[in-house]
Amino acid sequence: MSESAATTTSTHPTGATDGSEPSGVPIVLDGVTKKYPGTDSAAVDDIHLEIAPGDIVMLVGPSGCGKTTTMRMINRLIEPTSGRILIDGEDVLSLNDVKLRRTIGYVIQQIGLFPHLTIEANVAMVPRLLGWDKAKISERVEEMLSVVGLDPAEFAHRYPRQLSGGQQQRVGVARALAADPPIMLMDEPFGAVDPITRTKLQDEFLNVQQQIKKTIVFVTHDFDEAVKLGDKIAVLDKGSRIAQYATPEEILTSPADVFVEGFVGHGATLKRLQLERLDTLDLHSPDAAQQGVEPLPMRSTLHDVLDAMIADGLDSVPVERDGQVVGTVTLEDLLGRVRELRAEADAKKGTTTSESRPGAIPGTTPDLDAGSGQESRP
Amino acid sequence: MTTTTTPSDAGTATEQVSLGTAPLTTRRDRLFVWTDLIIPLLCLAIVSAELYYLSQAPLDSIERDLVSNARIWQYTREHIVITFVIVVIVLAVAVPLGVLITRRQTAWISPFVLAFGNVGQAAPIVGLIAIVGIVFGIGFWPVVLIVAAFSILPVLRNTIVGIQQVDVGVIDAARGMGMSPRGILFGVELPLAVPIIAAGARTSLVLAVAVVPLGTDLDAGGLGQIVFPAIKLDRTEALVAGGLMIAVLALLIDWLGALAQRLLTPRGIR
Repeated sequence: MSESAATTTSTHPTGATDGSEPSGVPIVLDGVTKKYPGTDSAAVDDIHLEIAPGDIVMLVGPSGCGKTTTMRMINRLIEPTSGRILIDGEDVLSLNDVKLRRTIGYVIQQIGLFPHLTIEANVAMVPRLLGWDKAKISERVEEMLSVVGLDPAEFAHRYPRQLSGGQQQRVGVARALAADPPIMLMDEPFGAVDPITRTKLQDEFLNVQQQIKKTIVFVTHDFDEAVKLGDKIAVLDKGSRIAQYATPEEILTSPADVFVEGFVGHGATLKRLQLERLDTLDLHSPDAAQQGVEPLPMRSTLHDVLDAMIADGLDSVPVERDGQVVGTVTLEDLLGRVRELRAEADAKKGTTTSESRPGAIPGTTPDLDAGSGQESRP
Repeated sequence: MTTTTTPSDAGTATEQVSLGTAPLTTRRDRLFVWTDLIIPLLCLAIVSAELYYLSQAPLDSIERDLVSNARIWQYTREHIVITFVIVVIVLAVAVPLGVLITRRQTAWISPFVLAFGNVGQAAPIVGLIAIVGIVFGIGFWPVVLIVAAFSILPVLRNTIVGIQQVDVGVIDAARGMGMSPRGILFGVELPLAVPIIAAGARTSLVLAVAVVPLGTDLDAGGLGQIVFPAIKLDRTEALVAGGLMIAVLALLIDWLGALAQRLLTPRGIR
């Protein structure tokens, strides 16, 4: 496995990464508009968005808001009416559309595996289009199947219909990653699988992304998925108007306007706790009285901790690291952390209005009343 | 590229997903099953019985000459050749036309082509043969062409349907991965349409077998050369023999078509 990875690195330098620096490249949408003939309002209306290399950017919004259209313009499955789309500084509209798409991974909800081809041939498709030699392709196919948790020996020669939905989507992801594209476009990739499989796929997806650091544009209508997976979230309203473009933390603690608030839904504070891990808290020393209580691992989220406290009716639980109980966390600690997050958000409110960040979208202004006044683009 | 998971990660994930796997049943070894032999054996039995009957029956000299073994085999061979040529022409014309109709740039030809196909099938074949005989003369090719026009519609329609029924998600994925339109047509759409196109071709084959005898008067050859003289001369034994051979031929050709359809269908969708 490591050998094949090394070979790939040497022959395909763009994919080389030591796990910390992104292999992805930046994407910039500059005034991109899509208007279908015969319609009054644009499906996507003058969207400006800057995506940093290696980020997962979630496009969330209600049905028909134009999020999928926005994504599909990046690989030109839909041609923009006007505006520029820059990938690593290069305008995609100046490139050959077919060749462009070979450099962009593409995963969709319907998966779209070729039913008449084996799993191996499915994953090998883009490398074959790019003219890689056979040995390198089969090496790469094996590697990719392993990455998505499918044993190549068992699955390579099967056909798609012999796989479950979850397995098929793993193949879909492997296929999109096969030619090591710097960018991935994913359109509700985990939307059609059962909730348990979805959670598992999401977790594994995050694991893989941590190593490969692609620039990923991910469309979903599920806000919880956006919070879980996104480095940044763009909440879109009709016509792909960006209501807010910010980190999940920011959106949860200070939604830009009523629309975003409505989309975040109830329990924003609880959702916020899902993003905080135990290691952000100062622990109390271990409490001998808690001998019988199952300790929580250090990497638990505060949401897990609260859940455990409520479930067991305790106001403090022990914390372990590598099997050793290293301390105790109390309900008071949790509440204190929530107060801190509030204060941080309030402090930000004072600064973001004056701060002009490149690519910052007016919606990031958290002041509800001022929200409408900030609609004009910077 | 460090897209490697640690061995333990990959291992556990694989184990877990393996649990949900359906038993691996490939049908490669079931490409032919013993029931496939029923139709050819039945045909063989019918033909043998008929030939035996003819050799025993009290036939007059005209009849004996009409249904001699030599004639039956020669006409059958002719019939097969004509049918084969017709189907090659039908496939060579209908599949490309069907493809053109499903391309966005050439979809405008659709009403014209379908009208042609419909007229071809709806027009009274005997009348058409008469007209062709008058205009183009007699012989092999006039009959081949008129019967081809008559049996083009099943292949044409099935080509269109076969391409249109390909899952839009598959096409979207193919486009999104950077397959060229030509690559998608030959690598995805046509392979996935094969079973349906082949079904149309089988229908065309059977149609052609059944219609070719009507061209007998244009001297194209085939088993019609037994049937029509038998009608005119009122020789029932010969009429039955000719009809039986045509029916058996249709059955056998359809059977071969079924085998070809199965063989040509990609394994993953078989």
